[in-house]
Amino acid sequence: MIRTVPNPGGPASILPSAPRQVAALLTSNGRALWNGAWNRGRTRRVAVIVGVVLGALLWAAAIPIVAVFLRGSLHASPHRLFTTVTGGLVLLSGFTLVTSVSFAVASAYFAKDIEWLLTVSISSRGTLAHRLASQLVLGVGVGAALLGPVLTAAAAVTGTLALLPIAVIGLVALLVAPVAVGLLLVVVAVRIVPASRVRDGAAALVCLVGFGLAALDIAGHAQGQGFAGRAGSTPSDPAGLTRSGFRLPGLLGWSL
Amino acid sequence: MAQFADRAGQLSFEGVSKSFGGQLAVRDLDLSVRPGELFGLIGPNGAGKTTTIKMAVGLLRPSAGRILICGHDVQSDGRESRRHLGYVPDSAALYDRLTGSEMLQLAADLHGVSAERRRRRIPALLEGFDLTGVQGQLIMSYSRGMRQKLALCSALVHDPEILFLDEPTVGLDPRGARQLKIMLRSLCDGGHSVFLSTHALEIAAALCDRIGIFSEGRLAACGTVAELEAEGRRSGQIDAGLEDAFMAVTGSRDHEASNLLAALRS
Repeated sequence: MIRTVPNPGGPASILPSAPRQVAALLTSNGRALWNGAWNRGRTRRVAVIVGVVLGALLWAAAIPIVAVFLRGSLHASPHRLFTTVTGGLVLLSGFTLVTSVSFAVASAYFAKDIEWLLTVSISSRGTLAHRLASQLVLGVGVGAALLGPVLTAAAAVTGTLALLPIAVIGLVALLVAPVAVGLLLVVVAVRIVPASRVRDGAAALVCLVGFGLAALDIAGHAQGQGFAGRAGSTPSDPAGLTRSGFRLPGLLGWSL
Repeated sequence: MAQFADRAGQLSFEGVSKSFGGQLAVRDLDLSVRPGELFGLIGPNGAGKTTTIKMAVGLLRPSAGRILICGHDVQSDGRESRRHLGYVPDSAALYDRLTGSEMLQLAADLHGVSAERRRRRIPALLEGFDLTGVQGQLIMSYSRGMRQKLALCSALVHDPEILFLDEPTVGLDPRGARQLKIMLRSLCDGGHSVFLSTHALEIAAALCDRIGIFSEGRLAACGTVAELEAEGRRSGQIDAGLEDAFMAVTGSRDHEASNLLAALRS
């Protein structure tokens, strides 16, 4: 049985700094990810290997395909290539902004572990920093999966492959702002209304924006324009969206 | 608050109230738990037991009054007060994809337990709760009882001075429940305090130094088992036990059971 000793001098520990606690949490997240992929039996392991190999192949195969498309764009108009790539990056940023609100609600207020975290000696700032960092890692992962081929192909087409690391840093920096804004919005919102209302409100807002944009798009199509605002452009063309009068809602709609 | 200045409790509730949208869940709670004391909170569903514990561990903000843990105000000095407590809710949230030992390492990391101390502490806790054999398995494969034991281990890893347990025996088999009882007694003998809520009157009666009976958000009675039984006898019960005292304080619902039986028979 457990032996205890009288402990009048307080707990037998020295409180670590918030960054060390955040690092410990992130390390555990990484370990959990690894355990979930690798330590759940042979079948799971095989499935993960197949999935990762297949994903990597698809990711790599997308680069030459995108490059062909981009070369065509570059040939047509050099301006269009940069608009397309920039449009893609902005779309990712918009996606992160919208999803970061719902992720922030889920991870900061409805995650199963939050009750435990709030009763250990980790500061509120530490908890928020951990949530911010894990969302950022998720955003960068999504960005790398979706935009990695586009960026790599664009760099190859324009002969700027050496600048790719800078593009990656730029991508990470691009995501920091919307993630932080999303988290901040949630933190401020739950000070004013109960967290459950914020969750429901976030879901309602996302649905409202989605359906609203779809309705506008249908109305635009009926008039032969859609979001593009010019003949020949379709709503599936992000470059067209960025030039349209519906730029901001268009980006949000795309992000949905 | 001067009347509380002489109390040397590890846990003090001073005029604490909590309301949810105008509904009072806890009202004017004054209570102190001494070092080495095992205090049990019993009461019917919705009486305010869990709300009281959640306020004490800092999960809920009291509407009025204050709560001190080892002299630290839970609201104004939350981080320091949380160093001195361990908390096990009725259904603990654990990281399913960590192993048992990894979960305890994380708890030790967050609490700043030194490497040397955790080398002794973690194996002792795992052995004490019969978890040594499964410490390398993912928590998602644990039974409810095993999860409850692991949650207890993670609450104890930093050797807190006061341990809060909300329905600690739910999900535990008789062996686990017995281990828990021995462990809690051992903790209190070592100078730690335990504050638990339970529906199991026999556990409260067998284990607790003092018991508080909660009813409709109010601490309706508080004392040792003998004192509460004496209270039950004063209210007309002959050979009153803790259950009779509980019924006397919280109000018997025998007529409701009779009505239900009659409805079922008809």
